[in-house]
Amino acid sequence: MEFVDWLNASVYLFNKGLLNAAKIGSIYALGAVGITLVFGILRFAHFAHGDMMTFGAMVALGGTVLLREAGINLHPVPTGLLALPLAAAATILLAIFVDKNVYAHFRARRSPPVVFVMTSIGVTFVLQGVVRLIGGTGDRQFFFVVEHAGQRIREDKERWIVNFQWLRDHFEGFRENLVITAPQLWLFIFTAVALVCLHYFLTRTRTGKAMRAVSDNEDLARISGIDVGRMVSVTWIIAATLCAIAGTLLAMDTQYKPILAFSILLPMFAAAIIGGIGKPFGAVLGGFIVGAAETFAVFDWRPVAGRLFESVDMTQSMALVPAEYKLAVPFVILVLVLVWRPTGLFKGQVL
Amino acid sequence: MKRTTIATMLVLGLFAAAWFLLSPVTALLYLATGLATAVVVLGLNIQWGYAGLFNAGILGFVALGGYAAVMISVPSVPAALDAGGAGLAMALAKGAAALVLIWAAGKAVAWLPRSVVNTAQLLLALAAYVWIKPEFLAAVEAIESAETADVTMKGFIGGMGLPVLLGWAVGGVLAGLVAWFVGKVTLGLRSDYLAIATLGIAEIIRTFLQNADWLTRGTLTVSPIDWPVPGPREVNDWLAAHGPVNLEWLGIAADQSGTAIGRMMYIIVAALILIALVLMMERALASPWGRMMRAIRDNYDAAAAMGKNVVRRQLEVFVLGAILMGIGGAMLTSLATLFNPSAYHPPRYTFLIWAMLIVGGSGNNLGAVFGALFIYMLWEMSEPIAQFLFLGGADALAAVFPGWEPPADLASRASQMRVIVIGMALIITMRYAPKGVIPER
Repeated sequence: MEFVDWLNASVYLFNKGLLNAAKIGSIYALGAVGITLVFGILRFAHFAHGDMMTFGAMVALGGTVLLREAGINLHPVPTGLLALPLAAAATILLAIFVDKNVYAHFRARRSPPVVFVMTSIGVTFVLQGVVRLIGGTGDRQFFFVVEHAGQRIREDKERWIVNFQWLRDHFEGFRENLVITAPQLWLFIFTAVALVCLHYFLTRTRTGKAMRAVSDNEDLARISGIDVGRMVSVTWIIAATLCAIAGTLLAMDTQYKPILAFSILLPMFAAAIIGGIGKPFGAVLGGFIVGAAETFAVFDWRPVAGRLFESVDMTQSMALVPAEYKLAVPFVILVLVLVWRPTGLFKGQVL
Repeated sequence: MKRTTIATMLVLGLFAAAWFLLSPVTALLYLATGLATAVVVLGLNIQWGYAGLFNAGILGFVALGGYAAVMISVPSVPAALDAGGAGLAMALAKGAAALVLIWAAGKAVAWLPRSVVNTAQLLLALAAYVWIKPEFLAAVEAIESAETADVTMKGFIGGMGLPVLLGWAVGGVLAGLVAWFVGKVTLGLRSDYLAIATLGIAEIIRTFLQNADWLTRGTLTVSPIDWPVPGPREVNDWLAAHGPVNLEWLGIAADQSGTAIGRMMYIIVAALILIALVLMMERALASPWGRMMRAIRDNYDAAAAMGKNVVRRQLEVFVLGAILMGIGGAMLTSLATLFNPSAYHPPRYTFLIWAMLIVGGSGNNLGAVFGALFIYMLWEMSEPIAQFLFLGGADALAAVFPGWEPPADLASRASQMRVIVIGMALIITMRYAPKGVIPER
């Protein structure tokens, strides 16, 4: 075993393991932040969060189709991202509409959280129906072929390859490349920007601080003169924007389908709880923990081990759990956290 | 007019609509499914209506019940058992032994800080898993590759070939056992937490049943599954041998009379079980135990302060509710004569059940039964109505705007309308009649 084997193995691990973990972790983080904010301010588990994401992705898909037909593109920015402002605006309108017409009624009556949860399940149903009604029931590619400088470019196939020429020159036998696809890169950029903005908003602005005050103690915030109703609206605006970003980028990375985000609702809840309910940055960390755990639990270590040791039995999978059980991993973590540390890693509210 | 009268008329109205507009056998199928679903809703009513436990993992218990019906009633596959049965039993026994040892070791060193014990237990459990996994996988491999006499059953461990009624009971037992473990872990947490945890556990159960091809045949599905009474096919065979029964005075066509008679017999069995369960639950609700449960639901802290062991009572009620869900799940699987693990979707088997209870009236067993029948029929019938409206609407639009073409998947989009109907029913009930149509007394 030589140093170059380690290099090859670690680049492979980065490509197939860490990048995937970071990708799905970013999606979970964006969703979990929204869930945890809604929980902090409105104090209920928002079941319709996943379908709000799907709704955002659906609007973005519609916008992308329109832009493509109009022949508008800003290569190398994917066309899907041009439709993102529209998707965010539509999702915000949806969230505010649902809040004013459904949740506000129960808030005014100070109904128990369970009533909100149940109603949000009803909203989930309606949203699922609406998404299928408008967006269709089939899967759709966010498939972009754009004309740029006389060339036809498939946006979703674009990728950046880092081939480490310096390492190649110095270490014989080094042959791995680092490959990042365009949707992944944009996802990382958007996640980073969104989370930095959120951090500044929550810690440096009046509104952000007021939001945290409401989350800590609603009654105290109210008698301090904070307009709780406005904070609720701001919460929905932030959560909906994050939903639109996460949904669109998830659909760009895989494809658009009606159960796009309902199927990842549970990992997002798991992430929010692991991070500590009501703690946005705990939720981010939880998102990446869940993403990494899910990816590495089903990660087949054979190619990595095979690059390092010659004696590896290459016929049997070295994954910890079979790939089909990927979905079960977040719940196992969730249950462990529930038993162990019900407040989550960051000492959030106890549910 | 009394609310129960209105409720009965609503159900009868939908039943009559299905009978005359669709077909009598369809209406009978809806009624049979509604009755089996009512058992599940009754289970949820015990958990939520009596004790205030928010179980969002109904699907898991229903699926377990359904699997129990398969396990008990499907004929065995001797070749597969011979090939891998012993290895499988060995691996499972080792796993169980390891868990018991780890648990006992944790009890023995209880004086250590809890986090240390828990971490050590987790690592030991992980080690045991990695140690036993190859043996387990080898046994599964042996089962899946065994050459069976019936080639369609290749790769399937088979069942026990016992009467399906026993499977219904075992469905309750299996669901109850799992619920005991789930409850041990999650009870004592606040309601939202229990909801998310049970939702996750149901997903684990579903993923397992879907992917354990050797146990459930996965996407290949298991069929046929017996009915406790002669099924439509048996009745048809009997009629063919003994001469037809004329049911045309009921509006049932001659070629459907066998199906209708079979379904009627199923309905009688299901109704008897349901009535027995409702009576038992009513007795339980009126007993000191039922009063205590409601006291815990309405004021947890006060009940605990009065010296009631609230977590233990909640565990009882959680298990009891899950038993009913398991029985209901087995009844549903029997009725469909098909066990398809991929068909257990949360909207259909968890949230629709919730909608049934909330609309019907939580805390009231009659309300639960009414909700099950009413919402199930509404769910089924909103599809043909939406199809009719959509296709008609598309034709009208196409006539007005000649260039417009309806989307190709219009029919499947229309079938999604029922999700909206159920969602709206849930929201409207929560808002305008939070106690449901037949409220708790």
